Amino acid sequence: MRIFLLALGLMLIGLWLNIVFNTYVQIGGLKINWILMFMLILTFRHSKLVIAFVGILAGLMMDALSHGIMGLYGTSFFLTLLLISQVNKLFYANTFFAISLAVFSMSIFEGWISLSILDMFEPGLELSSKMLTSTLPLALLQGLITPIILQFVIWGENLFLRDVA
Amino acid sequence: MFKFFNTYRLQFFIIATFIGLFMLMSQTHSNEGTSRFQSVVQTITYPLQASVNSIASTFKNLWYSYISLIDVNEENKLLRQQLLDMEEKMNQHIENSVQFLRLRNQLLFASKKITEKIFAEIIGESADNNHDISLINRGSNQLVQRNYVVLRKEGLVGRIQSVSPFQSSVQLITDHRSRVSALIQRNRIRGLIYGTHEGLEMRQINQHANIKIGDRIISSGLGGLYPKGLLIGWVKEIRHQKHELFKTAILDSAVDFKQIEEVFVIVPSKTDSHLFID
Repeated sequence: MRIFLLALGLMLIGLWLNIVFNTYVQIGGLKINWILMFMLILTFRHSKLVIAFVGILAGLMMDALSHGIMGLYGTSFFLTLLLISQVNKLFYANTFFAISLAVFSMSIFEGWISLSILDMFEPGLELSSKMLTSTLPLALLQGLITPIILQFVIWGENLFLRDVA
Repeated sequence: MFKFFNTYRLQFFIIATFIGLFMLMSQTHSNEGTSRFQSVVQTITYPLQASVNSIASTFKNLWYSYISLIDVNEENKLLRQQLLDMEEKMNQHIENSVQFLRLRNQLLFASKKITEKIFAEIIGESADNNHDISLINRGSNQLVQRNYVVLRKEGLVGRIQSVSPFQSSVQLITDHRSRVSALIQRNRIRGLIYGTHEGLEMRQINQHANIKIGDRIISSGLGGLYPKGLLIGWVKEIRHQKHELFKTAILDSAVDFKQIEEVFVIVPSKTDSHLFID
């Protein structure tokens, strides 16, 4: 229950950052996907399936605030978080570098999934071009700022999950 | 059967979730309307966006007021000189405008078009990097509806994509999904404006068409969504390979999409005329 509340809280903070912060601050013209970053880091640290389901809600909110095809980001977020919760122990170590690398690679994966689904609904989308010009630099940027977000998530965990630990 | 289901309960649940999400996607995509969930999310986020936008605007205005005081003396001298030049030009324009007003009144009388404009402020942007969407602070409570045309004095901005009670999302014409039927004003040659995220391209222009750099591009009114005569931009570059059937023109958009803060939503009139005079 506590992890669910923590995920929900971080998702709402991520949503706030997405709709307010991104409007005014864009590094290199790229809007950082804060919600996804929070969800990725939390899943890497806890591997709980419940986070993947919170990810659906986060994705639906992203859908509502962008293209309006409900379920597109919901699916890509869910699939990415589901994959992480199943395989993260294979390559994940709790270090800044490892988590940055993991967020980088999973951001690319999520971008690829969402663009592929988008391509199904909106033919003519230049998938490879979008991957190179938008998804890849964004994933790199998200990988770079991951340590800061990680510190914030750890702070949140100490606040919410301390008694459980 | 039950034992099998119980064993693989989680897997079934995950598959059912995926199926549900895909059904939701295809429903919202084919429905072409605003889903309730989207409306709820936009309604909830509206106060946040509107208040932050208001605070940011106040700070920005204060800052620009301060900046504008610098070099004001130099600017004053320059403006005085320009004023003298302008007075001379104005005499010519008065004569032209008298003629223009007379002709315009005739045209307005002929078309009997009454267009109502709803003023709106941009309060946010798309939450992702793949779509060119702007959020405005007018919604169904102000009678905004899906597919209403959004424009500025400079030219065409886009169309209303979805509506919630207090805010709406505008699909800009630079969005990769946007298509606007257009024509070259000088020689009435048709083409289709594609949004490319970086800007605008006019495609499917006849390979023998005579296009020049600087040609004005306006909406053609075909397709029924955008009215005829709205300025879209000017031809910046022409691309054509010998083996290609069509020419492509890269456009300079009339509207600076990175700078817009206010727009007008056009409430369509009930007359059949597509003539737009502004």
